Amino acid sequence: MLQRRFHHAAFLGPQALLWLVIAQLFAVLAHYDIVPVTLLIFAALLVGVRIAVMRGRLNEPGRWSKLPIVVLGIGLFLVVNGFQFTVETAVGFFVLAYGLKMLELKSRRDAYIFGFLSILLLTLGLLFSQAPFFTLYIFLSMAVCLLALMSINSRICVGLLKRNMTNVISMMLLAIPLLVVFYLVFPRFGPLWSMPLKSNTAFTGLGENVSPGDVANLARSGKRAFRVVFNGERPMPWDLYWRSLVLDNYDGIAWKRSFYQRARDKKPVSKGSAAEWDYEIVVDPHNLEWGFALENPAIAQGAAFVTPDGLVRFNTSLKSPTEYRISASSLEKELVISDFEKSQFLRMPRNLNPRTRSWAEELMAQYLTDQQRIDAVMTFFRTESYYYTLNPPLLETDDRVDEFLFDSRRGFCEHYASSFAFLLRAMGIPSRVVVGYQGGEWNQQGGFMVVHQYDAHAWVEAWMEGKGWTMLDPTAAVAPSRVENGIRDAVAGEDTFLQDNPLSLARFSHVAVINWVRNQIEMINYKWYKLVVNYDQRRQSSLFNALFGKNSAWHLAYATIFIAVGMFITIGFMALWPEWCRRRKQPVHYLYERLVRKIQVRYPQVHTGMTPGNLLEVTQADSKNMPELTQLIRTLEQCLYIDTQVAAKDLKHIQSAIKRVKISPG
Amino acid sequence: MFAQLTESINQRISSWVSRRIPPSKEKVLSHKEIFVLPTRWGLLFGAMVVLIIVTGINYQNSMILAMGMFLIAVMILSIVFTYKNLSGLELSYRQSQACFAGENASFEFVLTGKNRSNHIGIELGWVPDKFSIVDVLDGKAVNCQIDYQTKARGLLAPGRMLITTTWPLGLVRAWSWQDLQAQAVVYPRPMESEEHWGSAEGENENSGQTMNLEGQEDFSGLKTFVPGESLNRVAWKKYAQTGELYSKEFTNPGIDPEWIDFTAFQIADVEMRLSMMCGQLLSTLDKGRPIGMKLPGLALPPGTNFVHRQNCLTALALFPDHNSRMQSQGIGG
Repeated sequence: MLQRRFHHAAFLGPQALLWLVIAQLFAVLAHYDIVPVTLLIFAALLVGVRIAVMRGRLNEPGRWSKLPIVVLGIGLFLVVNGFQFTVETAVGFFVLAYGLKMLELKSRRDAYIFGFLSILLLTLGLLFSQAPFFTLYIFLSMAVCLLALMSINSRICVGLLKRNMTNVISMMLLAIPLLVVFYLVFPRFGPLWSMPLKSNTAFTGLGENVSPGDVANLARSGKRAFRVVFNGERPMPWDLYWRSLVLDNYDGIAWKRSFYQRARDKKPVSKGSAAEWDYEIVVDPHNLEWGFALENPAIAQGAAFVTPDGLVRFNTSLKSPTEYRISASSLEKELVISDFEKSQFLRMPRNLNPRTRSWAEELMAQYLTDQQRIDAVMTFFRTESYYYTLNPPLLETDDRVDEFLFDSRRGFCEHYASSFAFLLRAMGIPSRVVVGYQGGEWNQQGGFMVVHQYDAHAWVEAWMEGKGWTMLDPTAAVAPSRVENGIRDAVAGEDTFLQDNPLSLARFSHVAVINWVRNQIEMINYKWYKLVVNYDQRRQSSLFNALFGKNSAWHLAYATIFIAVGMFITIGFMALWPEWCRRRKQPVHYLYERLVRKIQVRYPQVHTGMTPGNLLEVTQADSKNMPELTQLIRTLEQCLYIDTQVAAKDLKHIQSAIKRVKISPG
Repeated sequence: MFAQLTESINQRISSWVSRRIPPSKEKVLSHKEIFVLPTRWGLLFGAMVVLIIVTGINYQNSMILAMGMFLIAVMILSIVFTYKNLSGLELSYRQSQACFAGENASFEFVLTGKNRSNHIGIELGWVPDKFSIVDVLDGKAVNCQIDYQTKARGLLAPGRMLITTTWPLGLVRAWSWQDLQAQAVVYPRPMESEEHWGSAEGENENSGQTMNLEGQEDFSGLKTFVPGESLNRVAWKKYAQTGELYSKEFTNPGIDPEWIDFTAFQIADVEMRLSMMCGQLLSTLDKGRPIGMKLPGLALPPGTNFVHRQNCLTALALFPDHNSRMQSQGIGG
């Protein structure tokens, strides 16, 4: 009798299949940029097969006809991806397996599994982006999945879609407050174990090494590199040199990091903070270990450290937006350099660029101090006809610095920095090329600064006796507008800015409306990361401190219990509310039902649909009838059938009388 | 040992349920009698949510964590939705259709929603028979017919039925056991026999002959079909031509009314006797002959109409309680 198992219709209706296909479409679209097109087409064909089977155009594929399709799918996957094991290939394989599941989607069981896989695939989309609009897309697609699950579980009838949609919407709306509370309360901790699969997404940004043309390529990208909020004063545009990489080794073609420099980049140093600038940076994920900072930073907050060269580094590569706070000072500087270091920063390939070397010798003879020599070169850049362009002529000879400085004279920051550093070394001044970003776009609405990939820049640092490492930017001498107004102004004449992204909103930022929209989107993005995505342990505990006072470890536990209990009370309340309403509207009926339930213990034939008269018949037929019970039933009968409202006092009286009634099972 | 344990647990739950949900003819389902547990899909869904949360933690991805939280919220809400789908459903037993043993007895119930509520995908039935699925929309009353596979004759009270739903998402099942005191009369399974029948007291001398009376009646004409008449007498050919129902009339009214007497049978087995009586009753009535029936303490005078037929069958079904039961239903005497 208590068995609950029974035979369910294993049949899957066409409306359920339709919604599952739509859910699949949404789930796969979330991965459009990482799943190979061939796999997408393959999955679409499988959907076509399923629909044809549903409509009776094809027979249900048997085991032997499925096998070649599965083999074909896996073969296709291997051809496209090879034997790589990354998060992206895993998701690709997921899409394939999920598509193949479509082939045998015929029972409710298959349909449930398919619906759950859709939800899982959608969720995995968030691995690659946590941007607000994408998250919204995923959230709304969840509604489609719920609708599909609901369709599996309902029969076709008139108004089915409208009814299911109403229910899904009310479920989503009710889920939002719960989701918010859970998100705030759920304890945050580090990874439980390291995931074996890593992502291999190609992020835009500066790479390990800077080869010629890299920076110019970045100028074509309108993507965001990082965002900065200044606490207090904001530096002037020409002070905004965001350092990220020091290159000390020139091989005649490119500047690279030597092994020595690589080791230095891994070494943390502790620095006192004498804050001149105080700012917070949110770095967009770039899959590398470095951050960005103005000169001479000290970490005030965050999981980063500072290297001896004043670069910000992390212990792991950044896969999600990462935040840190810097107190930068331009006062403290290292004023000693070892001979080894000096020789390291003077090394250059022999026998290359003879014209530059001889010019350096001329300058050495002409001027007495290093400062004078540097000034002379800067003046040379400023006065001679050098052009700043993103489309420089290709340098083809071995003596590239010579070719650039004396022949082509057209180039961008990288060329100027590279040749300037070479020239300095040729003059015996220790120097290095620094790569990072310069400038940034101020977002008035949000009060923060956005640094884009097109702000990528390269400049030079030279070691000056008594001054330490000093920043020198030859580009500023050639094209002052690059530093003061950004790259857009600097290349305004040649239309090369963002030339690969003709539709990028940044291209139209001179149109006021578009720029306003762009800034709004940027601001929503920023607030989203700041308030929602980066809600971590620290923020959680500070929120709980603010809510429940200090010492919040216990408070957190209390709050969790409190909220869990609150949740259950809420659920109970939602479930029981209609009954309570009825109880308030018809108090006498309610009391009568209570009495009937008590009487039922002894007389099972009694039920709430009986009139008090019937009740009396049953109870009085018994030899051991109770006079007070008879009295009570009579009273209730009167209350039930009089027209006027029963006074609250009388109700109380009846209620306590019912409580006193004791009926033992017959 | 284990089977014994589950048996005793089942017994305890069963008696607890009986105490908690006493039988009654009509019932509004409320929290007192609704039970909720996850289905296997709910458990699988829960496992998936755990997987998603672990992924969120391990990749330190806040939004995946947030989706995990969202799915937890969905799980909790689906408990509430499923519960509310059953709560406030008003059930009442309406009537039953009698049948012969071995056939399906059909019970009719009325489902209504209190306060114009929706109750979707409500499954009703007796385990392990086939379930009926009903949608109650806007509180409108819905009639629902449920078949029950019968085995033996008698007054069938199938007892507690299962009212259950997994709507909306199928992650959670809410159910209730209700005994709506449904009853159906199950007639004995008709059995062919060559047995003699008739009054044991021999008050009808002529009745000692066999039932071999076929061909002695002659077709005399057609008359308009009266509801309740045997379908065997309907002139189907005429119906196909005219679209109206006529029944065939036979001349041979001269034959003496017959009696089927319980005590006249030689077979010791009561059930078999009743089955044979049933078979003979039906075959005689199908031929349009009047026949009466005698059971201990009950004599139904010969008749041919539908009511008579029902009374006879009911008496057979309810034997040996036929007297008290039928009197309470106002039949016979």
